[in-house]
Amino acid sequence: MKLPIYCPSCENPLKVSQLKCDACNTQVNGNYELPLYLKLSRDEQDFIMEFFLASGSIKEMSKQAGISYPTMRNKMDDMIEKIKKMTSND
Amino acid sequence: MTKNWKTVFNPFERYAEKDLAIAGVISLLLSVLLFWWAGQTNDGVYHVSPKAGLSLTGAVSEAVVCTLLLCGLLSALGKTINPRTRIIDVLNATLIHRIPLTFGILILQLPFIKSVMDQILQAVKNNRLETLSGSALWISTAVGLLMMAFLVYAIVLLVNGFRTAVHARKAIHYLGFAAALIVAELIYRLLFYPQLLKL
Repeated sequence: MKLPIYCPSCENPLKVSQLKCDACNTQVNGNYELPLYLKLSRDEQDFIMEFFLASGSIKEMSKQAGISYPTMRNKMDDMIEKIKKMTSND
Repeated sequence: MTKNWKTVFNPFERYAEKDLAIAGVISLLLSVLLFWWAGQTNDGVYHVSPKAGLSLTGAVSEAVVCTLLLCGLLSALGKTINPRTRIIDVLNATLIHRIPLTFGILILQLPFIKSVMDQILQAVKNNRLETLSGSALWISTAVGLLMMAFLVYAIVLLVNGFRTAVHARKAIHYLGFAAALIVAELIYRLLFYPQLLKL
């Protein structure tokens, strides 16, 4: 199931308010920030995972995706810029 | 835009640098042979004129100088915009964008087009433009429009290749690109071409 990260009503970022242990039914309530990785879109999370699985090789990733190296590097630069903005806003 | 059309206008987004470089070098070699055979000289980066007795050395030098000059200027601009720009990507864009221009020159060598062009040149020389037939004018207009389309396509390829290589996104980057093309044309015409004429 896809984890929602934005409020469907006002589109502001969502926070974690409850966590539950499936084994003993213990529930933890609070107001927790989502980790940075989970704040990214599903495509962006997949991209980071692919980068990790390709041992950090943009060349390997571009080969697998069937696109050129500079296109993949540009995609990576856009994501780096987005994450930098997100971390500076936090 | 479908993936195939996207590839037609921006092959640099899809193909590996090695494939693009091979295609670019082969097309450069073919263009050299075509210019030499057809007696066409690159008197500007984007201007071609007939030149009787053009040597093979001359044709090779013109093609190489045009390509390297443009590549050098665009690479310098690219490195300024984005230090991670690779020269091979800019070189590929410079090489590939010449394919439509070369194709244009090839079309001009078709016998019926060549004869119309000769008729027009002769009429201009003798100041007898009224002697030109309607079909000659129609053909020359169609060829002119076709050449314009090839030039536009070549520039689109170069812009897309540059954008992909440099990750250009701002208007100032494209202004720099336009300035680099103008500077390349000026340097080639004023400095290099007079030297190349001696070959």
